Amino acid sequence: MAYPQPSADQYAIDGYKFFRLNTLLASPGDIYESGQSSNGICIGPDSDIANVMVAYFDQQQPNQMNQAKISPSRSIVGRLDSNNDGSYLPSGRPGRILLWSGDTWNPNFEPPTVSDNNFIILETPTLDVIEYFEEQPSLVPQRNDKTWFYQQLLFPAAVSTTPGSIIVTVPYYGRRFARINVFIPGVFESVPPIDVAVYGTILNLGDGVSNPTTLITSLTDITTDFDVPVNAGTIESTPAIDTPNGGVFDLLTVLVTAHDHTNQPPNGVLIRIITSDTPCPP
Amino acid sequence: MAAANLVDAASDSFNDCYALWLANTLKAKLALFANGLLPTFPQQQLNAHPVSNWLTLILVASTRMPSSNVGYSDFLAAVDYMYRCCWMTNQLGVTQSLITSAQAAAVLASYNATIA
Repeated sequence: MAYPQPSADQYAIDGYKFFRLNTLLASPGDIYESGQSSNGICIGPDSDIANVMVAYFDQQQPNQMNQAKISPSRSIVGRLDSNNDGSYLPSGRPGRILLWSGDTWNPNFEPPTVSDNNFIILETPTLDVIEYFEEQPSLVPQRNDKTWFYQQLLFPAAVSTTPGSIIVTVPYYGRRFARINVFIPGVFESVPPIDVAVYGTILNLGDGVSNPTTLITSLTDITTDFDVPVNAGTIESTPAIDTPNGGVFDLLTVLVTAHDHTNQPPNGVLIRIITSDTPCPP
Repeated sequence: MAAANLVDAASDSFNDCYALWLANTLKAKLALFANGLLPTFPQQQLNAHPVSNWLTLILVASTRMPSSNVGYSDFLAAVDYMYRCCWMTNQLGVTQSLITSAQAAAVLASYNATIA
């Protein structure tokens, strides 16, 4: 969904019970509006964005605007006014409900690298918010676990003695647990070794340069002497990242480098990243 | 330092607003920035609403600030709005052409004249 945004008014006219925004962020500055008053707003099930800001008309407040933040742990149940006849002050613009991501995003984010020989994937976050037109007794704003699956990612060809790297960055806003699998498909007499590192990044309001990042774990030279069964041909590196204090990082980066530039896995790697709001069980 | 484009303006917003914050001119400059741009984004132009909504939020933040000794959280909120306003204008004016190039240029010009 790019701009122009869908109309909440049309949803109400068509008899829908709610207005759902479910969109990849078009930009870090995305802001959406609803001309319909609400009886409850919550994070949608498919949202990568964990925190959403809501501005609504409140004539008892300065500027006739009040704001709230919703998240997977807290939604708003009750009437929030959109007042098309009233105005926010001092701009004088109509008092519609405004919705925007409370998390920072930067499409120019530069992930950590070990060389210039990289294949980079940067996933755009999804914003999913639901505005209910009818009264709701309660709202359960839980998010689905999300799986990022890359069936086959090929290493860039080695440049001189510099091996190729594959770098995958996914949104991690508000997540409390991630499980990462890296597989080398194929059957080999000796498995081409790889190095795997995982980073967490907190984005600032800047140019997206990867600074600072936090190293969560680093595994090197994985299974240099692994004799694979006929049908498997897999190497599993399964660090489980448990952040019980919740949502420490905005982005999660998995960096896979061929350990030996003369022996890069010819079929690349399969990567699976699962993120969850549920902390890892002890 | 003047930004060459809206993405640069967004990237520079923290440092530029920080200087204003230290000089106790942040409140006035935010109001100048937003008030000067609002007529450029009329309410009748539906595609201009995202930008005018950010200008509305910037003005709300500005009016709620004291003239001096602005709290750090209020300063950071202003930076956040400015960052997002520049990115949104870039998306609508440069990437998608849903607003005119003149409107996008006006935001950049106002940023360079008041914030940078």
